[in-house]
Amino acid sequence: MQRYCTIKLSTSIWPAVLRTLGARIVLVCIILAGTAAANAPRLAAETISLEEGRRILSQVDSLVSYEDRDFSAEYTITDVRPGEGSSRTVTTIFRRDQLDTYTIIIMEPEADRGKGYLKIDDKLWLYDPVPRRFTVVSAKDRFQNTNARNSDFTRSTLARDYRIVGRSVEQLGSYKTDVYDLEAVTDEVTFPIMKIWIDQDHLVRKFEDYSLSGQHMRTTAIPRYKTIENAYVPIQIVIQDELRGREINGVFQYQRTLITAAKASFQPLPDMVFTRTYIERVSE
Amino acid sequence: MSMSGTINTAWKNYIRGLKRYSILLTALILVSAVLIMVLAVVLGIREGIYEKASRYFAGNIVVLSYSGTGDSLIEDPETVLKAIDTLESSGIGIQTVSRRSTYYEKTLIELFFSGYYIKQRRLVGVEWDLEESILSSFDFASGALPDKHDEQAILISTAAADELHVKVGDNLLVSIQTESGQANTVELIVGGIFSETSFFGYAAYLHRKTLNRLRQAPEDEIHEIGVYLDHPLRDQDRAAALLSEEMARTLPSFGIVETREDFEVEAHAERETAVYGVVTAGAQLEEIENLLEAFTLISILIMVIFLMIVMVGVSNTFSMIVWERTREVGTLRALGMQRGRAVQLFLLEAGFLGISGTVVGLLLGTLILEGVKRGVELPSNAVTTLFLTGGRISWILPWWGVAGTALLVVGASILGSFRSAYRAGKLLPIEALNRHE
Repeated sequence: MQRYCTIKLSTSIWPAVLRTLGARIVLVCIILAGTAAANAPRLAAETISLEEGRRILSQVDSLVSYEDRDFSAEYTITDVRPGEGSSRTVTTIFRRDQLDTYTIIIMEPEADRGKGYLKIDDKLWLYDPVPRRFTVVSAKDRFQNTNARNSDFTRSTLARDYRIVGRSVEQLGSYKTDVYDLEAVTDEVTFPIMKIWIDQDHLVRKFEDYSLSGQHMRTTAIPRYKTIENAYVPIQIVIQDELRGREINGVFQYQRTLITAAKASFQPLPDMVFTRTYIERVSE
Repeated sequence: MSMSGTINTAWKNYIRGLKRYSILLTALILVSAVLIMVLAVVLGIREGIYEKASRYFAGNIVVLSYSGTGDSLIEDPETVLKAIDTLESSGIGIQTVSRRSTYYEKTLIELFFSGYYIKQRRLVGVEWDLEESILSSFDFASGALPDKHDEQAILISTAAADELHVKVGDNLLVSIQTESGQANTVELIVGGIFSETSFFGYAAYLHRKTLNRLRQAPEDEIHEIGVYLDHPLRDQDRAAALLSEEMARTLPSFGIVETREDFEVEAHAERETAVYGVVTAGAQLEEIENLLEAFTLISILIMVIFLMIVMVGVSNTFSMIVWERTREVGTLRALGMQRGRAVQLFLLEAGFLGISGTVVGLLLGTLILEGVKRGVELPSNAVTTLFLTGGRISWILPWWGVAGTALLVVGASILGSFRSAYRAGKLLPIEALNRHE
């Protein structure tokens, strides 16, 4: 089956915010289309040492992990299901990477308002304000039934979880990128095989997730970063589910999740934010 | 008058009074027919669900082994199979045995085809040849049971196939998370699509080795060993007790699991070593069994009330009959008929009424049941397919069902006539002959 990347911005179901992002989404489409285009010009794959690989991945991690300060932002997550419409979730995320902890409060839609996630120690708790109960969920689960995983909102841990097994160079839209084939060194990650595209600033521009058997499961593009207080914050992320979609008018359209970040801040957060009590109070 | 003479006279009286009995007889026919139908349908549904459940849960009785993780793993299948062999020497017929691996995680099993997807509750890893006789009883909408060594095939339900828009022969992608939580997938070919949209339709069947590979577990891993009995409803409890006893001789055992609650307790109880036990399909179906029992009880209660009304009708009718036949009774008594014979005469007449009602009711009931079974295909949805077999109502009428219904109806008829018959027996001949109409 021939599959194409198309997004109809003129469709009435699209919220205005997405239409304003039209031009950028087209760029993302070009990046995602590259997924299928394994025929793009590429240099021969080369192997690199374990130490060198760890250094590269640590550098990538360090750019989007904020070990020395707290981070907060408002994320708008738009899940687009071809033929089924779209849904929008607005969340506020608080991160304290130094302690590997985070809190997510759902603001919209109204039905999920007040739900919250809290990652402390090795457990991820989900609070439901209706029964007023916390339950343990997995970081590997889908976030609010979108294509994003709960773990997508934590700090980057590529160096800890993967090793580089192959390297090549590829032109990705306007970016000249190094493409790394990654293999998990731990079984704690959802996707044991990954491929990442790193630009000349060592920022991840795209990555592909694969199952153990090598099935391409998900493609993520990060077309925009914003520099705030000398740190990079990805402010636009597009996740394409490679297995879900619909053929509409003869064209196959994948399910996509668009994540935009706003109000990013590195102001210190009170310790209280990373407690169950805080989530309960906010949800009242 | 001899007994045969009494029977003969009672029969003639019954035939003579048929016109008067017509309403009563109709009521008894209806009661018998409804009783027969309710009983036959409940038993048919029960057997149908039991068959589906046994296929779903690996057998009529299933051996599980827990060490506290919540997941069963049979570490010593040879000993379990030896214990199963002893059942036949105890006179319990075994149809076949299953050795399955299962993956049960309702949020993590997904099937994909051409962009469409559906979640499944359970993946069942089977050995096609070992369970051929059981799995071939699937109501296949298309396709069939795969060849015994086919590790590329998958059987899915119509519920899944409709959602996925998939046909037999299509390549289906199965996605799960391994024990450690990593995504893993396998592409399989749809070998058969079975009709099922109920609870039992959210399971897909594939080869045990294929499932184990997908789970990243050893290929030969077995999670449960099941036994399909020749007479499951009759032998289930005895077989479970014998098997549990036999296994306890050589393996650490937690006995027989009676309810789903016990099942959960045993699965999660902390243990140092694996402990073996037996669970019956009946225990797995506790809620459905309770529902059917409640339905049966309500039906019986309604029927008993209806029977009591019929008894009042019989009583009134026989009061009239005895009144009308007073002179006749007087004559017979004057000719030497004993009191007891006079009572028997009326009771036998009531008995003929009850027997006629039962026989015609039985015929009517079975005709309606068979007609509905053959002529009515009910629309399939999650509720109806749970109770149907191949989209139709199935029914079973054992001998004890017929005997029980006959006993109830004939008993109600005789009991209803007893007061009047007794009064007829007490009549003095002279008094009876003097009575003017």
